[in-house]
Amino acid sequence: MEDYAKRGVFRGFHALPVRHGVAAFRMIWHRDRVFDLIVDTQKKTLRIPVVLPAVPSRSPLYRDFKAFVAGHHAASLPDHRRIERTKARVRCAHHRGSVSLTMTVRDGDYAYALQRLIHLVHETFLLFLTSGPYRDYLVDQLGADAEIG
Amino acid sequence: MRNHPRTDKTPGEKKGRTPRRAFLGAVAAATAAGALLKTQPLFGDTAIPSIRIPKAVTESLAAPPRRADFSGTGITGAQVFANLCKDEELAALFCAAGNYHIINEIAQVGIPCYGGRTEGGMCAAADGFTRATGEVAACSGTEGPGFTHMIMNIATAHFANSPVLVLASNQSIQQEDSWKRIQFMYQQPTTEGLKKYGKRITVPNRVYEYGAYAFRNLKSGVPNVVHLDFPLDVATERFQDPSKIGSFYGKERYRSESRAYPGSKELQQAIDMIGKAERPVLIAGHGVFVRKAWDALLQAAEKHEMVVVGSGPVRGHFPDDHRLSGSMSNDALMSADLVIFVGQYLMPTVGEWTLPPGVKTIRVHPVQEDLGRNWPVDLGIVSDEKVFLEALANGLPPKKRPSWVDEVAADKQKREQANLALNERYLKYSRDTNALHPWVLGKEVHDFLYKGDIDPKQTVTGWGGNMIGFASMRWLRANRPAQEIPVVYQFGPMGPDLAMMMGAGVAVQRGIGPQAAYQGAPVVVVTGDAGMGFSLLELDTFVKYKIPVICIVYNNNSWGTFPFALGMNTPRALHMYLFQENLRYDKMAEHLGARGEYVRTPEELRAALKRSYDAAAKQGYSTLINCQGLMEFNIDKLYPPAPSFAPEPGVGAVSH
Repeated sequence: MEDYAKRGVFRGFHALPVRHGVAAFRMIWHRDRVFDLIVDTQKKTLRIPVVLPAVPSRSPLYRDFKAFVAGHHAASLPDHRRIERTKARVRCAHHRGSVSLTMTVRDGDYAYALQRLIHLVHETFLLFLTSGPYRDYLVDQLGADAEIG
Repeated sequence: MRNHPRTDKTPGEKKGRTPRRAFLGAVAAATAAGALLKTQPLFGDTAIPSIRIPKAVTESLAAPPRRADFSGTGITGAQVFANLCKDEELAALFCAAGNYHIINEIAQVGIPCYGGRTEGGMCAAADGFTRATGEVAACSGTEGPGFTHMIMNIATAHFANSPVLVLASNQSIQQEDSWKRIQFMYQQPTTEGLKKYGKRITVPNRVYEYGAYAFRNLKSGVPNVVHLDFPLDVATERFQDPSKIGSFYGKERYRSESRAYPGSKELQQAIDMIGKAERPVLIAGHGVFVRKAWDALLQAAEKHEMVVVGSGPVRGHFPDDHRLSGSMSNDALMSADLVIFVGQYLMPTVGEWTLPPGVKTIRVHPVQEDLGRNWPVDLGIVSDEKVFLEALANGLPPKKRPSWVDEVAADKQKREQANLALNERYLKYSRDTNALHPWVLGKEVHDFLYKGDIDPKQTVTGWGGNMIGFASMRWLRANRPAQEIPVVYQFGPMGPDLAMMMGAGVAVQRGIGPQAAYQGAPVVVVTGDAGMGFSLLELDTFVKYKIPVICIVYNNNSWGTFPFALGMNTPRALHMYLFQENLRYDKMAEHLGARGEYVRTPEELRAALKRSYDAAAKQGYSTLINCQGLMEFNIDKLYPPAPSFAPEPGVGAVSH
């Protein structure tokens, strides 16, 4: 994570106090929003509780996002892009209007899972949201300027 | 291809029917007669004269050039400057009348000059010319009012790194601050932050010295705008002896063609990094175009199978239709394991472009101070772009990367299919409403220019606007250097589209630089009805100089940004975004001496494009195609999805 921070991927990266063996980190990332990353080694998970805020659970956006996330396990993807199921598994969930991402580490390779999770969030903002019909969401919820993106 | 010469008759007259304007003139006269019958004598039934290009224009263009010298009454400051411009091979001047001493002498010395309808429009034309050629062009306006009219387009040129020489008169030094005469203003502070160099020339015998400053800045390093303002005292001062002029020596002594070479160690480091990478992406910035380094780029890319994406205010220095182009493969770009920025003048910030987080980066730039700006680098190299790419092409070993090339190609195909799928949906909207959806318009123009009978490398296009811009950016292509001009690049101006393409049209008409192979071909601009308020009258300038343009206007009766009024829940604001409905820009074009077409369906547009292109290519006529659309297509809830920005970099990019 620090390597990403050093390369300017996100700002203000810092660790939060460890609670019950769960480590947490906070950073400012896409759209100047605060992202938390929770690392639970007992559950073997990496979780970002709020990737997309203010998403209705029955909305086309959430439906499309679930498909986008699931697509990252697809065998048709090249190795360097696929999330290998034997190594990690990703899923998204909806809670109180926010969409989260959780990566479950299956072979103990946290570095691999973290790298894929960071890339997935990055692609969410740069590919998923900009390539799909989500202009209004970007403007209304993520502060994008309708004129300049 | 070449233009056929145009006569001074309008299109309707050439067909042998009753001249349309004669008919309209008769109607107008009859109406006036009815109103005035009881009070005044009739004007008579004399028809209103037809629009024509004055004979004086043709004669003026044919007048022999003349270079002033020190003999006789001597040479004026304006003539000294004009001679300098000629020696520097200034490619063109675009102006509205004003700054008389300077523009007259620049014209007289034999530099191609074009007079248009507004200073702002002509500044955009100069920008368009430089984008289409890579050469320096000048624009000029009269003192305060003319100069200030140029500001939006000076800023646009600045953010495009266009070497535009902005010239303006500025009253006289003797009367400065006296309020004795009108129009004086402090010009240089107005262009602060929008230029590379500027000077109010206040000492007459330094006019040559500051002219040299101007060209040294325009033609060295990273190009940008230069602004000179000329008080009357400087322009009219007479010199009968060269020794009275300061720093009066030739361009070979006041500037240098020397370029920065990469250090051998750094070059080897770059070659090693590229060789070890599995999926390298080279971003070819505007500097590659400025340095005319596209052949070296192609050679390096093909030899080592690097994926390339061109960026900047003019597109095509790496062709979109090349198998190694990543310009429509933004998803695949996320697979890159090394990015090489070459000549990327305006660096994106991390997270703006579809490149992987934390990807290894090489940046090659001619100015050391800019390395590391916005984007962390693993290797920074100070070098001229062309020199670096030539060295890279020589130093890289041949290599094949079939899986990387396949990944990029597959992604491009996926995007093309997605574009077509969207088109099916938008086509239904068009049929349901009998109004053209902007996306459908873009697709029709795309098919006409790149998939029909026309050489897909031939036609230079420009585009702007908001709602129509979102569609044009997805469909227009650049298959060779300087084929596509995204007018809105970086600064986002609304409206100068048609005027900017006037300069590009001149470049094609004269076959300058990358336009040489397509000399005389028509140019195409896709713009919006809002843009008409800024540039429509420049159609007169196209017609006057016989530069064929096809101006496609998406007419949605509004500023494309009208959803702002709805989204902010301010219904009382909506009227400010709306125009009268169904305005006939095609009719306005006819009354400016061009052809007009009115279309509402894809079939009508297809036919109109063919007629317009034929008229442009065979007879040199310009056409405005008024495409009646619907503003509601920009409301996502009514006609989803409303068109939006394209992922960047690549096709559709408007920033960096």
